[in-house]
Amino acid sequence: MKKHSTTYRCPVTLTNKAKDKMRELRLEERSFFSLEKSFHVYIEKYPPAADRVLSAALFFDIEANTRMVEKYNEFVVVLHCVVEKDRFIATNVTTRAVHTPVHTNWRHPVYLKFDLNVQRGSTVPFDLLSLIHEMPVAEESSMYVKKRIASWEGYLKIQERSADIPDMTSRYSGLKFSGDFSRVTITGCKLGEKEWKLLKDLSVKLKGIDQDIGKVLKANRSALTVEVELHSYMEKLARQQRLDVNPKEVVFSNFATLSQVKRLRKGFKDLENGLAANPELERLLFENKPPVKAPKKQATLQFHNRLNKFQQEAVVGAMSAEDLYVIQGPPGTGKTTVISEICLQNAKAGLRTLVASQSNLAVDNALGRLLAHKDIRILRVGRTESIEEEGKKFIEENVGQYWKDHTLTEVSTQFEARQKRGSELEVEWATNEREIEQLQPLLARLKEEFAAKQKAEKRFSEIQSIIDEQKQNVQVVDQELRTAQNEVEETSQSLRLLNAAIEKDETFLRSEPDSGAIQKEWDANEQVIQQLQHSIACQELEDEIDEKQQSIEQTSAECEKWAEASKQMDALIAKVTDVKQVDGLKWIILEQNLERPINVQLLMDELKDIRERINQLEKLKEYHDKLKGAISYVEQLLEQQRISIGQVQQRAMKRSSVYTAVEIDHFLDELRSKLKEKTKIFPQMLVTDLEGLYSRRHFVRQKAERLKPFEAYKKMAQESFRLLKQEMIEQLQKKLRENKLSHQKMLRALEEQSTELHSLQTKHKQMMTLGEQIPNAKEMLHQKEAKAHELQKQKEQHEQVKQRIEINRDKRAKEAKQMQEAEQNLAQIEARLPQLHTIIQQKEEEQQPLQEILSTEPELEHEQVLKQLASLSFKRESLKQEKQKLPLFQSIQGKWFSLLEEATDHDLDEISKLYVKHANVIGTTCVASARKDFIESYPVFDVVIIDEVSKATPPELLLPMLKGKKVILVGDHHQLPPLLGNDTLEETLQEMADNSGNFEGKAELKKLLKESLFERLYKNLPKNNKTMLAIQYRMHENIMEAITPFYEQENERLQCGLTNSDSQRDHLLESPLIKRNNHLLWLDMPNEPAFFEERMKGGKSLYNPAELKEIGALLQELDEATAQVKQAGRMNADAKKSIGVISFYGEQVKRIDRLIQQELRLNHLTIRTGTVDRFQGMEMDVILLSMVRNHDNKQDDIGFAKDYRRLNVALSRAREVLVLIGSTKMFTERTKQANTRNMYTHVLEAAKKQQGLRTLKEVSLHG
Amino acid sequence: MDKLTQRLRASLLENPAVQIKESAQWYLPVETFDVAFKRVKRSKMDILMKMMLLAFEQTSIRRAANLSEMLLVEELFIADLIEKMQRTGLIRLEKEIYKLTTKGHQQLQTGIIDEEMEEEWTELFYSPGHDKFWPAMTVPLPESDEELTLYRYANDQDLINSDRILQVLSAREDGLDENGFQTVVANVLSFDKRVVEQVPCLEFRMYNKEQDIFYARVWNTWLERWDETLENQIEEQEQVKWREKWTAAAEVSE
Repeated sequence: MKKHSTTYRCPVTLTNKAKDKMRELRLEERSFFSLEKSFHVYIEKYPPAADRVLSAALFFDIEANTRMVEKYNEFVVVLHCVVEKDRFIATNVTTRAVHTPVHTNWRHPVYLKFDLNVQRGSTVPFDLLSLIHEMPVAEESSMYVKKRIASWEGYLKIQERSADIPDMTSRYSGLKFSGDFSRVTITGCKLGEKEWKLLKDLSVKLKGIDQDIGKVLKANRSALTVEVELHSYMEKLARQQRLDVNPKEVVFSNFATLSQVKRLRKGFKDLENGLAANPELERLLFENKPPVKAPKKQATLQFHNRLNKFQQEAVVGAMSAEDLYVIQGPPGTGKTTVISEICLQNAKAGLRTLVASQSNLAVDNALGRLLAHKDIRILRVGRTESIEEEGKKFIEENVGQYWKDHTLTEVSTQFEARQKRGSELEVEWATNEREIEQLQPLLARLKEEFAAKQKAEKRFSEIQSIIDEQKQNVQVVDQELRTAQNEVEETSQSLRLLNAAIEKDETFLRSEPDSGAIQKEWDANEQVIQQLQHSIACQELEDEIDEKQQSIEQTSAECEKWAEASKQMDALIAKVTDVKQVDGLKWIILEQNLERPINVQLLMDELKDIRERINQLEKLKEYHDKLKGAISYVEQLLEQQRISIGQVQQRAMKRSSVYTAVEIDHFLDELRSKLKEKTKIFPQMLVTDLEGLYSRRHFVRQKAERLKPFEAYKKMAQESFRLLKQEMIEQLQKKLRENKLSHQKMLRALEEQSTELHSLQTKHKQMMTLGEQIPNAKEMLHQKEAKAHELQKQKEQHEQVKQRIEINRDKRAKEAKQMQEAEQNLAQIEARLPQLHTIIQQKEEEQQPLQEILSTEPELEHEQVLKQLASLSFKRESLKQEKQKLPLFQSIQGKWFSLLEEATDHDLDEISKLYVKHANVIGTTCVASARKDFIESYPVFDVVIIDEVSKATPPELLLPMLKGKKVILVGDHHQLPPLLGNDTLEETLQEMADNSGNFEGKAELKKLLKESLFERLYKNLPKNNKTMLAIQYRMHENIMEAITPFYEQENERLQCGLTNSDSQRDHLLESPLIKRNNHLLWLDMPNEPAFFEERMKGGKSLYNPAELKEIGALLQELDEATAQVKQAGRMNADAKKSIGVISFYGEQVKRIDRLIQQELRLNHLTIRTGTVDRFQGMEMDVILLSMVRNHDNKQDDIGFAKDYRRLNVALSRAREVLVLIGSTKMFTERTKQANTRNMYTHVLEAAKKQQGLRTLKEVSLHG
Repeated sequence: MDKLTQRLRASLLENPAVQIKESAQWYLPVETFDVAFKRVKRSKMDILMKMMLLAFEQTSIRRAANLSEMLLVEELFIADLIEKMQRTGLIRLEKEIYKLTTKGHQQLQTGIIDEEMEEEWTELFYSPGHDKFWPAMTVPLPESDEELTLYRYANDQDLINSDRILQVLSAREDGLDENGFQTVVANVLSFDKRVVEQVPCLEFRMYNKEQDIFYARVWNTWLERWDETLENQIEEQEQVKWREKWTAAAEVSE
């Protein structure tokens, strides 16, 4: 897969070491980097180290860098770099061998343009940096694979058991060939003791013979013989006795196994090194949820095989899948058909497919069933001698022939078909012409009719437009008519209303008094009202006078009050002026409830403060005196003791203590009592006391100093007192002034009021003279006013009515006129309508005949005829071309046919070269796909299909998988797992455990045996990436019933695709044991010693003579039955029934072989025998299964007949009849595990249900 | 003859488990044909290329697909050869149509003309029992003292026709000559059965005690090998009978 690569500029510097290395390698630094404009380089990221965050190796591509390769082609150059932001620093230069792949999945291809002149400020392109950043570290990716793949080690371990055996050479005395030259016993071998043990499975070579002759089957140390299974291609030499060569020397070698193991190991390594074609392969294989890519879109396909829905789903799924697809195909479900279709679809899409499988047989089977199609070119690659007949035609030396055969049939088929076609063409041509001629007159007639119709259509539409117009007119007129009618109606209505209104108003006027009387009454009323209003005014004036007099009285009372207040204030001022003491002043304030403005308050506080200080001063003086007394007393005492006190005093002065009055009292009391009590006074104590006294006196003095002298305080107090008094007097005088002002104001008001009163009284007098007083005037006025209002209204109404009558009369006259006009209009309109209707009718009558013409449809017919003509002439054209081409094709293909027929080997060689070059489906075995020559010819495939996946081990599967961009796995995990040599994995594992106790990877291997790679993938893949083919076409449905339980866990039930099993799988036989309707039978062998299994001498394998006898009898019976069928003409006389006789045990199969060859003559049967394991993938008409196990040993079980997968394979080989031969008791009852018992019981029940159980009594009765 | 019998017996009896129950000698008829045939010399150009040149000459071919449709040959093959022919100057594109160049015409001329060669004669050996042509004998057949009888299952079917002879001759005689021409057998002029050779065969009826199996060994003196075709023919007819016969004999003798 080519990744898109971009070119980046890459500043680089080289360390000295790198430079040295380059010189060592003879790479000239400057010229090397300038060899290419840009180098194609693969980057591999290194893990981060402590000193370098980002480092990488640059691998120079040995192919893309052409100029570099011209100069240096002996090795791949690798530049080891530390990646910095501004440059790559190459720290070392190394080389790799030319053949080591440079492109791996862990590396990223880019084009780098190296720049050796790194300048300050240059940078590595950001995209390149981030690309390296985001790349996975190669080492980690490898580690990932290494860790995961370790779980597959076990498989290799098994195969490597004998890998280190060196070649062994021995002389021998002779060769003994078996009857059919399939085996040879080498006698008289001379080998070392140890060597004898190692011989098994080694390949055998005789001196003088180029190829290996076969593989060691058995070594018999005591007889000095080695039994060898001969390769089939050795038979001819053996029969010619050309194997008897001298010197008689045989070489046993392990080379084949070794090289196989080597290839498998290389597969591991390739995956580890990121060399898988699909870069995600390891994750697809090892992740629990395989990270498959979602399909981009579902492919829409045209199928070339007949496919059922599951097969179609599988093909579409596989074609759409991006990376991995898994198909589970139970027996007979058409896996090969699906593979064939996928191959063809791939070929058509231009993709190359690898079909791989574990065995050559499976590869050949798959290729043999591919459709022969010219787009598909099949090539079988492998050792010719191991390729089966079906695959042989696809090997390189035969593909020319295959191609010729196929092309020859194709060409001859076409040639013959075309020959027939020649005469057919003539007939078709004539028919075509006749048909065209016949159509011509019809066409002409239709053309005419069509024209007439077109004309009629035109006329019709003309008339129609007139009708439409007239109809519209009618509508308009109708509308007008309705409007006119409405108008007449409305006008007459309005006239009626007007008349009524006028009538009513006139009646009113007649009944009511006229306006003059009303006016008179109104005037009288107005006069009364005036009188009443005058009287009311007088009354009101009187009230006002009363009020005024009362007001005057109030004002004079107020006046007196203010005069009294002023007098009192004078007295208060005098009192304040006389006050001598503060307390007196305070008292007045309290008594008079005077205001205390802020400065008065301040002064009072100041006075209080001054008084306090005086008190304090007095107290200090008192304590000073006390202390002074005490000091002089103590001083006296000390002087008696002659102790100087000067120092004491000084010391005391230095102390600065604070004392309270209580403390001083206490101190003095204590001193006093001390002096009183103690007769003996210690001078030292006294000194301390004196010091205390001094200190206290000093404190008192200091405190007193801080205060002002007494006189100063007295003066301050007097001053404050004076200010206070002054303040208060000012305040009171202000009040006095205010009182006087109020008094004067009252006096003035009194005067004014008296003047007003006087004027009112004069006015009253005047009014009284004007008219008499009417009592109740107010009430009466109301009445009269209401009356006046009423009258006014009457007057107005009268006027209105009069006016209205006038208006209405005018209106009536107008409307009457309108009415007349409307009626005239109506009459006119009514007259117009019938005219219009007549016109419409006329026109419609004109349309009638046209309508008839229009109802015919000549145009449709015309069109049809035209179409017919077109297709006829198209056909004519193609016939013409064919006619022209036919002779050319015939002559060329005729020539081609004859050339092909006489094609020589040389011709076919040339063709096969082309064929091989363009081969697009290549088949080989898994292991062969890793052969060196194959890898060189086909490194990568677009699609790898692996068939019978469940039969291959994971390491084997890995080899083809590595090569596929897309991998499609086909298999069935309900069938048998891989075989190693002739042994099953379980057996081999058991053997290894017996020999070496334990080996590495055994646990993992056991896990893998439980759930194979295929099974795990199938279970874990999303729906889009897998399908189970659920319809089988092989078995009669009754046989299928035996295996359905094995598929019950799947999403789809196994179904039978045969539309009628009874007719499509009719075995035609009728024998004592097998009736025509029997398809599943169980021949029950008694669980008694006479029928027990036996163990072969000197071996492990088992056989059962009793069953062998029954099988012989049964085969005879079948042969006779077939003969009868032929006699009855139900079967072709040359045909043979195909019969498979199979067994779980190899030894039994060997004995069956001998029985058939030596003791039976079966003319109507073709028989194949084999172990169940070998038979996987095959099918037969009839299958006889010899079950062998039968014993009464409580310790023992039924061996590998336990494995449900083996039973599944055994039961699903038969198309028509399946006969089990074995003890039902042994398998359904004596078997140890319950699920094994159930498994066989199901088969038994199915057989019973179909009347297919035969007990031996029955058998021997018939037999 | 006796010497041969002795040698074969000895080699068979190297295996101590086997017995030779019976042995016999008889002859197998092998027919000798005198065949006259003619070969032709033909250019080395292979048929597909020849056919393509012919097609280019006869008709207008624009694309490989046209020719692929006509010849029913893979388009890729055609495209490959067109490219090769253009490269070697046999054809060129003229107005989008492939045309033969002068060289192409020349090559085609030599390609389609077969140069006849002189008539030739040879001998063929045919065994009707095997329905196979055998190579010429390398050593003379051994002389036998006694008169040999005819092989009991010999058949006298006549399956020979000139087509089969042509096939055999083609396989044997076709090839390339020193001048790079193919020499190809073109037709068989005549074939006559000349003599019937009597090829002595030695038959041994074998029994292996260990495996309890009967089988036949037949030495074919012409081919100098154990002949499985004859062995199979005999075994198929007689194997079961042998068992019956010798088992009964063994019982009687007991």
